[in-house]
Amino acid sequence: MTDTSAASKAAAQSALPIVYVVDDDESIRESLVDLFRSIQMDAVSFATTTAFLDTADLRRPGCILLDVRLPGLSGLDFQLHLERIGSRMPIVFMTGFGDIPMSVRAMKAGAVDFLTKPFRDQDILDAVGVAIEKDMARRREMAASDAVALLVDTLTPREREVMAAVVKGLMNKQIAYDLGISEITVKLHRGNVMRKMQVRSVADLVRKAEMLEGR
Amino acid sequence: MGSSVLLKLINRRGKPSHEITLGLIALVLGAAVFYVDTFTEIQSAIAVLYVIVLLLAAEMLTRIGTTLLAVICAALTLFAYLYSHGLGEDVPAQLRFAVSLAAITITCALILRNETARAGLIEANLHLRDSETRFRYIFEHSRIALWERDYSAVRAFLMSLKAEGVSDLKDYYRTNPGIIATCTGLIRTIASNDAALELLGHVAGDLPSRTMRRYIAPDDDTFLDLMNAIFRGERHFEGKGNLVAENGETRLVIMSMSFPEDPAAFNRVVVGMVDITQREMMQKALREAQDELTRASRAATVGTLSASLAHELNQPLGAIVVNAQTLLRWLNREPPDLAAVRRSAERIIRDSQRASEIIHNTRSMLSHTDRTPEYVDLETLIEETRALMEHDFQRDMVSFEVDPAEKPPAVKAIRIELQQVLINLVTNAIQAMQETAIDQRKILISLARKDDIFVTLSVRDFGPGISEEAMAKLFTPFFTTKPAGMGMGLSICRSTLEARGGQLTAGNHPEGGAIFEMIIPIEDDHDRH
Repeated sequence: MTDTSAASKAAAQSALPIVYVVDDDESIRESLVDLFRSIQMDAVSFATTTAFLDTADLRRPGCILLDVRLPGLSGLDFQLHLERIGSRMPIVFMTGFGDIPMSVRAMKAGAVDFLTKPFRDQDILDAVGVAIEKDMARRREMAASDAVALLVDTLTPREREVMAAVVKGLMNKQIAYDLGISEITVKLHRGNVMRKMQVRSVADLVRKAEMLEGR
Repeated sequence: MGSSVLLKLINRRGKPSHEITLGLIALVLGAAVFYVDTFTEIQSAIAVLYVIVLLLAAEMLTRIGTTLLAVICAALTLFAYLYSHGLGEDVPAQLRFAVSLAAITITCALILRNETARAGLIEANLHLRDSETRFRYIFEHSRIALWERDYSAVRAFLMSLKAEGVSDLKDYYRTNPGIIATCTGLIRTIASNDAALELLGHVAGDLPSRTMRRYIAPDDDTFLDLMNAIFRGERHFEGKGNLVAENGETRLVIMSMSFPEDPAAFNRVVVGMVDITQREMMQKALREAQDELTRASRAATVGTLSASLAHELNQPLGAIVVNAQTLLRWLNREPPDLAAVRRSAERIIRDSQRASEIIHNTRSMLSHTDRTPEYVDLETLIEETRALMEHDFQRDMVSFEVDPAEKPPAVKAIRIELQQVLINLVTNAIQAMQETAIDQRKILISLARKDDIFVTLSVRDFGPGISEEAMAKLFTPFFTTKPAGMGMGLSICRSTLEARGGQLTAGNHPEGGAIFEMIIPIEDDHDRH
């Protein structure tokens, strides 16, 4: 096996979604992992949140199936902790007893679903499916904006100023006046921006600029 | 002055007129004797007749008076002798004189002795009457129910049985239960005091001179014991038995009696009884209340348990459901993955067994009958308690730490009891830290061998500690510092441990917070109770 094939295999695998099961109960862990395996979905389980943080690959798309009641850090506290360390992996909570205030808190903090044990397999699969889809979409968005950011990096400072003005909807004449350069020079910069940002119309440019917002 | 002298001499015992008559007769007789003795020539011991004067007068004279009269009589005799015979050597006259003097002296002595004896008798009589009055007073006014009863007939009956060859009365009773009725019919009440009448429900004055048959409860063994005591010639009897009062109520009494040595004295046996119905009822009520509270406390534990049980049971049940559904998925595949199906089925079996074990354990924990001592590993017990109360710790953000000290031996105890006490102490500790800053809420459990006999399990919290006034009443039932508390927890905990030979102590840690120590005997102390 060559390095390149191993790397490409890892890349291919990392592209597949994975379900991380965190529950202190071994029976639950085993049953869930087996359930996901039965639909050919990767699943790895952890008995504690610490074990999860130590070994889980947070870069892989997927979701966390998290028990609310865990020894040590509770599920809800762990949710906050993940957010603090910058992980945005969707969480599906599991609980032994339907505690309404607890589920409200979890959902407000961004949980995808809140399942009460014992649950129907389809409910878990649906919830996990939604969570993974959400993660994939987020990752696609992230990837797209990353690409745009790379394009923006190729622009000169002057070209960025021109682009910002174009996105605002200003006319060439106004831009030339604002920047204190000639209209011809603005047109030149504008052409460079369109080419470097790989867009054909101003509408496309605006969409790409929006992708960068909030970064 | 004259009258006081007179008082000393005259003793007014009888009627005055009678005394005056006697006095006058004595006086006249004395004068007559003196006259005849002195002024006649009768050659005889006339002076002996002074004896009659003395005897007559003694009736109304004191001892001093009598002595004085005797001296006067003797003086008169001497005077008469000297008057008629002078100092000459007249031997017969001297003899007569001597006889007279002797008679007077002896009579006086006899009168005096008689007087002493009579006084003694009167005094003894007075004492007797006093004593009788005192006895009556005690008898009548004692708050102990007292009866004077005639047991002579029943004794005679029992002795006749003995004479017929009965050696064991209780044995005889089994074949002849009728003897109880016969015996109760033979006992008569001679007297009873107010307390006794009250006990049986009579109005005062209505002397229950009937037999005892009416009052002995039919199922009362004590009466048979009493009969047996008489039968065997015992001198005392004490027992606890039931009496049926006039209004039909049953009264529980303690009775006590002493039998005389002399069979003839069996006609007056004093029986004392104290009504303990109320006391007995109170004790019963107290016991019931205690049982009730123990149940209530167990119910509280059940509350803790069931919250934990719901979670405990949900885990294997949840796993079973997922496994079963996954099994179907493996089975529905084309072709079915039978190896995976088998794995799922095996997991289902394992989890079902686990669920059933949890239920079994919980049941045995709650069962009333499961009170057999076993070797309890306290570390395991602490871990179980942690698991049971995990929910409470999370809710109140309390950390639960076990001090990893030396490992003490397992103790022979009743697991559920120790667990209940520990849960109670830990619950108290959690509640004591409501006001404590969250990062300082900690329960520290430590385990140590105290000595050869005991192991100490201590529960320390980091709350405000126990105030001095609370400390004094800490283990008193119904004392509580909690707004909704009943104040039974600690008192039950303490009696639970004490019933097994252990102890529960409370105190404050020098670095703050309260510390409770369960002192548990290593060897079972169950047999003592």
